[in-house]
Amino acid sequence: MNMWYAFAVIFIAIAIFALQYPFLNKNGKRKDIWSFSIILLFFTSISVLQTLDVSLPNPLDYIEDFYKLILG
Amino acid sequence: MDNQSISPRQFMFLVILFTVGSSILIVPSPLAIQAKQDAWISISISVLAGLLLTLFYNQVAKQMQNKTFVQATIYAFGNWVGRFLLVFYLSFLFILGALVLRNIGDFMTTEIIPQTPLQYTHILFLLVVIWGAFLGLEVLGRSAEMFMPWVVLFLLLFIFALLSEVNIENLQPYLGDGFTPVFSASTVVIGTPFLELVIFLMITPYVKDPKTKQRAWIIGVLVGGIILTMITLFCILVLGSDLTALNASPSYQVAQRINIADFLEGLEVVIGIIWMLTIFFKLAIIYYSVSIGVAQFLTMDDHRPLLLPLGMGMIVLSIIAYPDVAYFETFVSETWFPYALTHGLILPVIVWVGLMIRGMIERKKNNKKSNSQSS
Amino acid sequence: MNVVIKRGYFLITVLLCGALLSGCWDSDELDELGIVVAAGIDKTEDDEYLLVTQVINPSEIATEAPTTRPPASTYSTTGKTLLEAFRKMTHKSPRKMYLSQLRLVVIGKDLAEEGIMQPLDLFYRDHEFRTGFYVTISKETDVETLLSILTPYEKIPANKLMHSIEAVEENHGSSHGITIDELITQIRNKGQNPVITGLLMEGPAESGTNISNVENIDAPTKITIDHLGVLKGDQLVGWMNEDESLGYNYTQGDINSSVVTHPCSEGTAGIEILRGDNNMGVTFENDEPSISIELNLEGNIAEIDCPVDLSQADVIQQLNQQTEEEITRLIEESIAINQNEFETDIFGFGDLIHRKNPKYWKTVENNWDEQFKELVVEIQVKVELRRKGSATQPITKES
Repeated sequence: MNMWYAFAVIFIAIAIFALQYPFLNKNGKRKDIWSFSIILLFFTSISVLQTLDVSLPNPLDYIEDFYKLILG
Repeated sequence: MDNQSISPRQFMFLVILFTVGSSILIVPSPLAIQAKQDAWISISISVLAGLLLTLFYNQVAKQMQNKTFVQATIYAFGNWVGRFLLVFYLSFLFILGALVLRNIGDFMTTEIIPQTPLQYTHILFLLVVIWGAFLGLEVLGRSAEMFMPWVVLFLLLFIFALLSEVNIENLQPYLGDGFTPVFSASTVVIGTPFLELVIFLMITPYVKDPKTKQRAWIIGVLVGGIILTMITLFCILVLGSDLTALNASPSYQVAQRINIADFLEGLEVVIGIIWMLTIFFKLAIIYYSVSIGVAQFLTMDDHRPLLLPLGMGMIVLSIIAYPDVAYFETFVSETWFPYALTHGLILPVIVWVGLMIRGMIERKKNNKKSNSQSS
Repeated sequence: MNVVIKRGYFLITVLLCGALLSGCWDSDELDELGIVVAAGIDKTEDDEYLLVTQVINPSEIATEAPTTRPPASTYSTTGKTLLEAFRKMTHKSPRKMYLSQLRLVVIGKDLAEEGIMQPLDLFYRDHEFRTGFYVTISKETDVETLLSILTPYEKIPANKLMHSIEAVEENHGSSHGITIDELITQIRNKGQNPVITGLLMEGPAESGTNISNVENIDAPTKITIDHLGVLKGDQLVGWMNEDESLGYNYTQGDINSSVVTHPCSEGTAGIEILRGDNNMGVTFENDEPSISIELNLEGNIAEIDCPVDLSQADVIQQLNQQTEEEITRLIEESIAINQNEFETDIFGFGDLIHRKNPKYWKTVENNWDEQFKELVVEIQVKVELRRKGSATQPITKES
């Protein structure tokens, strides 16, 4: 079942890419395309990991630890 | 970036909706846990602090001169140091967005639709928010203008319908445990929502009319603060401090008491609607700011392509952000205030000082130039 | 390129419609729900909860041609927790229990004596419950029988009970309906203990559960609203009688309209209390608190059969004074039985001290029920009878 969710996420990511690419390409800014693709890839892989029930590190834990350290 | 702009009035409405959004449900309970029947005093203190903060933000906005906070930071500290500071600022906004999204998911699953998985509520809600951010600030501003009367109407209905349930004795004794718990409780509300107002530093450059926009911001905070104070006050007046503290969403519980002439009952959804509206605007503002912030951070022309990818990230973060409700409660009561203080006060102070130094350097340069030209 | 984009948008729109318009995940259709109007809870012998629900029978309520089926049905199950019992109920009932319309919770006497806080947790926590329902205690009968009694006049027994509680409160004042959030606040409050309405069954149980019960013009079995049960913390410690219950409600300012009867020279006078306000205060003398209760009541002469001359002002004055004495007696009795027998502060005197003098309260908070026994209470009742109805004189009086 989780596999299917992962596929759905990847499908959505491809759809997003297909939707946005033409616009970005029209403007012809290569750097924008790269930033967009990297962000999309990053968040897609995180989403896929999440749907596959991989336990991801929680940024809130780090924040909490950091402030505990500072405030004693 | 697109040249959208909103009027000071729309800006004020956005500030009000942002202040009320999500705090209306989650603030009364932690206040009542610490300050008991004096919760309304603590929240009044917080509103004062919020106004002072806003005065400061206005000063920062003045120094930023038509730049957003992201642009101004890069301008003041240069490409590398500026971006280093901004990573923290943008992650703060992003986490705030994820937490606000989680708030609505938690509320819906606790009180209204317990069997729907959290992800679906989040996805559906965020889609609307993304659409709002896609259409841009102008549309958000105008729809704020449209929905504000409804929020006010429902709030008035809420307050007048509850007048008969009010019990003044619930407020006594005043300051029974002294000032200490009152002050320590007020940090809760300073953290949520007043320190979060730092986000409007991303929005102010798009507000027309520099003279009245400062006033609009302050009035917005004041009105939003008064609404929150009234809600807290009514929770305590109707439920008493003990039940307010015991309940996860007291203002929703209070609305269940509404009973007009024995036939108009079950109006708790009224509070639900206010909540949905305000939290929508809060999330839309956060989301818009995050996406234009990231776009400016990467010097992209348009923030729109970023909306959907960021949305995926925000949904995942909102799910993994906390495993259970208790984690959130400890996080909000212990860590959120220092975290928000770092990004809502210390960071703007650094940027403010940086901007002033930068401004002085520029002026000297210009003087030299004009001197050399004149001589 | 453009065609591809257009098709893409079309596809997304169709997918979104599929996701958004297909309906609600949590939908509960009306014809799949059993609407619970009353719930009864008690302890079984093996220390489990016994749960009884009264579910309305929609076809019988809405129909214009009633059949012989009863308008409500009861189901009962047991479980280690109430939620378990609620869910196990699906074994017996064809529908899932829907709890938002709950009017009444009846607690069995045994459970009430043991403590009611534990089972109430579910009723306060679960999102389906509204907080506007009354909590009552079944005084003698077991809850299952009590909830199975069919009531005349009002088809749904739970509605009958709820309306009766409200009617008694409005017109006589010898009882007091308590909703769950009031109850929980008072149990958790150290300065005031709660009271709970008692329910009493009159007549034989066998005939009450039969539809023929409501076919008689004088239904042989009825449920009546009884006087108030007194709780210490969350445990039932005793019952007040009618006078004491009335006295209690006078102290709380909960009297909207009531009746005071007292003997006058050669008969009885019935005084209708119309309205009033009450005022509770606390004064400290050498760090010893004393409570004062002030009542200002307004009333009418409603019924009188003693030969007095009602046109004389001092006769009315005398009636005023007699009424005052009678009400003072009610309140004194009520306070006396709570101070001496039940040893629990149901009047909220502790709460009053907390409000007025939080510092002193801190010192007595933890053994307040002991302190309460020694508390001095001064009662001042002022009654003013304004009118005497349509008759100027007692009709028994010869002119």
